[in-house]
Amino acid sequence: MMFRFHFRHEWHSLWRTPVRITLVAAYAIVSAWAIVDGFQWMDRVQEIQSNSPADLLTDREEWFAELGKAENGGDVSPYSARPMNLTFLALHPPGELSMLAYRSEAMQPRLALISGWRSEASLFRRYEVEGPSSLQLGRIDFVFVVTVVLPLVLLMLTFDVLSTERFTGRIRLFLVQGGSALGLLLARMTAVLIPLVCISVIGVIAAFLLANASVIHLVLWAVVVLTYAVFWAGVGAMIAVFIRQPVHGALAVLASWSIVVVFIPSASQFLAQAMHPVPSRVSYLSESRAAEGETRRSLTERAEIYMAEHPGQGNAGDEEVPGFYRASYLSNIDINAKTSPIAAEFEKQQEAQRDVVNVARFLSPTLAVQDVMQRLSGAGLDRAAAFRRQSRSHLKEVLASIGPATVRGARLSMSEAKAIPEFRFQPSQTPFIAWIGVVWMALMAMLAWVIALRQARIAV
Amino acid sequence: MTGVILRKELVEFSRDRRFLGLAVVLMLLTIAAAIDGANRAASDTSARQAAENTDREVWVEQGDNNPHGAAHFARYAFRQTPALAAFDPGIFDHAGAAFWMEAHTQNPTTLRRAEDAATQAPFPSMSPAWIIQTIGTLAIAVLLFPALTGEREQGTLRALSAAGVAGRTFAAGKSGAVLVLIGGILFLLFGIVFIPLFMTGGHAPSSGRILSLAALYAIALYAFALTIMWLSARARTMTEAFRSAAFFWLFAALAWPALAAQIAVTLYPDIHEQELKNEIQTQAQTPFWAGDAQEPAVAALQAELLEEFDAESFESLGFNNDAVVLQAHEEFANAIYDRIYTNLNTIHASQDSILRYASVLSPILAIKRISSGVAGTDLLAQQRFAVDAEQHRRRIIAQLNRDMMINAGEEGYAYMAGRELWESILDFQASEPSLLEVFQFYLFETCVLLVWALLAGAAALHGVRQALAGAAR
Repeated sequence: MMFRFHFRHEWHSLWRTPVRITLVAAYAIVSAWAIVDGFQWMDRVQEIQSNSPADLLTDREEWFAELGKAENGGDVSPYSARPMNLTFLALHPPGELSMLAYRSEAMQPRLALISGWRSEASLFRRYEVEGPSSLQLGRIDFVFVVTVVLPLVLLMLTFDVLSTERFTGRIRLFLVQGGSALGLLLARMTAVLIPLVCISVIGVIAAFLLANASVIHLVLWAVVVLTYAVFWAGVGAMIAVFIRQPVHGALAVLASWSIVVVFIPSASQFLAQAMHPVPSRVSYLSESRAAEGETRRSLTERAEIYMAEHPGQGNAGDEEVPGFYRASYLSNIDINAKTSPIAAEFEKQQEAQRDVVNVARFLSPTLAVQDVMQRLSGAGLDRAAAFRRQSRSHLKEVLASIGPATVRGARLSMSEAKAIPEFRFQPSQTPFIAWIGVVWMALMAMLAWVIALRQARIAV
Repeated sequence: MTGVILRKELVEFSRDRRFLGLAVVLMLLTIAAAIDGANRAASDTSARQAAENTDREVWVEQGDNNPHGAAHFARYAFRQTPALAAFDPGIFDHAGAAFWMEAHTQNPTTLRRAEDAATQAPFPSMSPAWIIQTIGTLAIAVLLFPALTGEREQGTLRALSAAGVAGRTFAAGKSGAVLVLIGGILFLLFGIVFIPLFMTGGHAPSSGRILSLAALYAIALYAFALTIMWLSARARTMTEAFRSAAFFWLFAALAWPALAAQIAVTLYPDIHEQELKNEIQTQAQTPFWAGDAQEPAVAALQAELLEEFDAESFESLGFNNDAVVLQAHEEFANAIYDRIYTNLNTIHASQDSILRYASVLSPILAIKRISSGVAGTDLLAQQRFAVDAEQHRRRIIAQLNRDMMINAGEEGYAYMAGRELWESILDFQASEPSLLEVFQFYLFETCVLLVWALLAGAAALHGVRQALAGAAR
């Protein structure tokens, strides 16, 4: 009864105070802006992926027709149906809700052309056309709005829910008249929490409806948003009951937000990079250039070695085949061999960096929530890394399949050519550790609320 | 009297546990970031130096090759790591480190370090500059928000007013203390940052740049601090003062730079790499190799050659025509590339200009921009590198084509050049914008900082006077 009364009072007061309305409205506007911007980004990616490099891809039908003709002894150009001309398109499609989490997507490869002309070093060579100034400052996607802006607005609206009453002495009067500090705290926190959570969930539902995403993702997204908001409300409640002076409460709010949202994530990333530096891309390029130069210098010898390693493979060679097919192929497999230690070291160090940040997510729910939301949305660095891994693996398969025929200057047989699979991207599943972070956050939220409510009951 | 107030303020700062705590936190963070920054810069420098050496070795040792084949293998230009990247990485990690100087095509710079990130945080990773800009200003906001409301709530403001202390004197004492405080913090932090930089033995930054940075940061922090003092003078209670100080910090240090970047990209969206590739293909390649642009371009180049060698006919020169066609394509395509890349750079510059004008609302955004400019890690320095590298590419390819043109004769693509030619190709020498150019480029932001400092000073003085007058009533 008391709760209802306070809630109704707080609810009305929220919509009568200009500062509070401004904060809630600003949150709604930024959320809408981020989602609309996200859809524009996604439309653009889809448009480019559907139109792009058709001109660079091999026309399979034509290629196989030429190969069939060559196998039957027909007259075909020495350039036709060569294994080196077989190009596979590797697409990194945006996840179904990636418009909510596109912040880091601008720098990630979205497609790769896989063929014998490529090495692992050149597979993702792309034109880096994005403006560096805006890349550095980053985009505001919906995940950023929820993880960074939501707690800030929530704390700014709630940090003095009890301290002002206590500081001015009004709380005594309130309690003497039979009021309950617990009810007051709950009513005030809920009155603020409801509009903010509603705005966030409406944003997710809108994205879900427009993108026709799966219901399970919508539900999980909404649960994570709610848990995160409840966690921050718990922090706000703790500050409200433990800190008597409004100014100290404000200081505590700023400190807790800065530590959890800004400091721990930045510091963990900093520590991860300092403890486990990845090999420089410049060194990777340098190694690949050295390998390419070396292969080109000793091409005949290198071809003999390769054929000795692959005895009895490939049909008869053709003198008219251009030499640069063989040269490029051999360069590429030598580049892969020479740069594989750097690539392995790169993967190892990246994994170690992730381990450091995985620990930090237990200190900062922001990291845990950001990671889970990105995964649920089908975006993020892990998904991009999975695409790179799968593309590299497919390239290796293609190179292994076309190698003997290319070096011998021959063609693949029809069955060999048909045995090379097309590329299909398989997004990785959200790992267990990601959900543990969210469960840990939920536990902390519960603990914060239990302590705050207990303190409100006995100490205020 | 000013001296007395100043001394009293400094004594209070030194006794304030928040001040001591924040100073220790700031120092520890800066030490960690400075060591990491110096290590990163040193390893970057050595990786790029090693890559340059390898590139030269691979190039010179390539053996006999056709000059055009060599032009396709080509060379790379690597951007040097500026000495002050350890202090302020700016856009350095988000911009390409290398430029492929291949025949036929002008490429954008490539190999952004930021792509190596395995993890992501909502805000950038820590650097000494980021610590001063973000944590340093937060410390100032926390320390100074009670500057006047505290005096008012404790009743000392009324006592000072009753003692006849003039507003100007009081404001001079307060702001003098703030200046000493900021000077001290900056002296300490800059010392921490630059000692490891000099110790790691890389190319040390010029003292002009260090002094400029120190002066600019002092102005920015002073403007920020005086704004907090003004907010403190205007506030009726400590809570109100804290709210406005915290809001100003959040807005100026975190929210506005992110929003401004969002506005910049919304107004001037990036093009997609495929669009650039398509433009290059359809405008610089297809019209020449499959269209009707080849004939006039080749004729124009042949006419130039006739004039240069004072010959009657091209045939009489005995030059290889394939090489002339290749060079004619370069000259045809270069004009197209100038246009295409001017458009691309205009998009980046327009995004950058939004950030420039956005700095009017935030002295922290203004110092962010000038700081990366002075550190040589901004868009100006990056575009200079790309332009220099492209000019070098054009020189190299022209030199290789000329060698083939003069020496290949009937052999054409079968002609092989050797080590002598490869050695005659000069290494890329990068230039970087001078300090004067940097200040010319960031004149607006510098003015913004000065105006902020002046206005904040005037507002703080006015606020202090008002507060004293109010206390007297």
